[in-house]
Amino acid sequence: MLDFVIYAVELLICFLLQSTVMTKLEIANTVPDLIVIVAVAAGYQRGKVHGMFIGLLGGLILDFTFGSLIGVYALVYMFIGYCSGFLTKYYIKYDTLLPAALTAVSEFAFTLYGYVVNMLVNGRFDILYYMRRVMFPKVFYTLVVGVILYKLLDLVYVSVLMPVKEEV
Amino acid sequence: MENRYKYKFNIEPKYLLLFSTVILVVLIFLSYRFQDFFRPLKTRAASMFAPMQKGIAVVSDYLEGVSDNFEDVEKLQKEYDSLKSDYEALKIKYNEILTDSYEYEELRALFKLSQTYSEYETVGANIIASDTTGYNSVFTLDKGSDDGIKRDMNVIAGSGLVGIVTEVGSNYCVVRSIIDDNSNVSGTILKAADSCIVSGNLKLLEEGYIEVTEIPLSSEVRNNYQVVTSSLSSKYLPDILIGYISNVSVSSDGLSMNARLTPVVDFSKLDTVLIITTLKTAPEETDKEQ
Repeated sequence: MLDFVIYAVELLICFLLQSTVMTKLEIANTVPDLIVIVAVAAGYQRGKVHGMFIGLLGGLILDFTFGSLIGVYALVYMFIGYCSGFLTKYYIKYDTLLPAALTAVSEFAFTLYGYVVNMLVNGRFDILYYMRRVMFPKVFYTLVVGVILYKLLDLVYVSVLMPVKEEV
Repeated sequence: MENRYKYKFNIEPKYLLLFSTVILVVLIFLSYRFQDFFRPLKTRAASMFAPMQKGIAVVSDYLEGVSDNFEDVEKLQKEYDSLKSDYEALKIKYNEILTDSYEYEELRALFKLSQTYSEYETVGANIIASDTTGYNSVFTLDKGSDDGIKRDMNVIAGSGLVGIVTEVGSNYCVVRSIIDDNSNVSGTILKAADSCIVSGNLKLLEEGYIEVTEIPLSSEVRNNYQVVTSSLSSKYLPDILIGYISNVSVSSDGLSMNARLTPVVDFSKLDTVLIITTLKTAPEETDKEQ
């Protein structure tokens, strides 16, 4: 239970930073997606169930604050967290490469989904344009921020959650 | 306790995923079908975040202030805030005078302007958070139903229209700006006196434009004509300046004309806006708008 609480707190902090401070640090009109980093970390460190529920929670926060329908972003983040859980058996302390790759792939999936639910439904078919304008900058920015943020999340995981896990 | 813990993880994750997916899909449909039922739940949950976001916004503004000045930051900040609101008000006045003098003859004769938007009562608000998906231009303001804000109130910033309030919580409200792809505003082209629809378009926005469609073929619209909100609109108050027309062309179906529009508001530098507390109470006939 403690791990869920800690991931939820991390999620809350990341959401708040993402919607306030990060919007002032825009690069190429994009804001890094911190929620996906937490969802990926939860899945990668702890497994499918953790990734799934943390992703779900993060998505619900987005849906409640900015979305028009409830569940749209929750759905995609839930799958991202769940899929990250497939790699949990390869988890190595303080490894950056695999989670970084996972973050990039997940963020690409998220922006692609975002294109479908926001743009395609409005009849904007020029996907290549939106790739250049939104998807790639966002993936890249998220990746850069993700490498740094993941280090912190991993530090929390190794120092707080790992000892607890071993006791159980 | 340990039993419960074990039991929880005896369910196969894939069934848990399937179950949650079904619930979410149902939730999406329900929240689409029963918007009035879900809206209060949503805003109540979201209003938890507003004070935290406001706190962070205040702290980051404060830190920005500290890095700029070392002496008496608070005093300067207060003075700055009051000057800023004065400035916004003056900007509206200035713009109004400019509009009037520029087109005095035609306007008065054609439209019999009874009201201009500087006469509406407004409430100042700060942007505390923005949507981060990269596709939408939606942001949160620090005023909510406790301050008398209601859905569909118009939001302006100094020189023109910013957007419309779409969600209201007790301490926050969400505004969809006119540059968002889901935004459609019915407008009137001054001078030419023709109607049109102004829509957001992320692709055109890269060049600083949004889209104008459904201008009648007979229109004598030219570049730099002003577009204001139409009196036919069901949600937008009349005669709020939206922007200036350019690149007029005949649409692909040949039935109307399209154009581009440069919004008067600089959306990249927006941080303080004014909410007009007067609601439009027109018969609901132009339901094209959102």
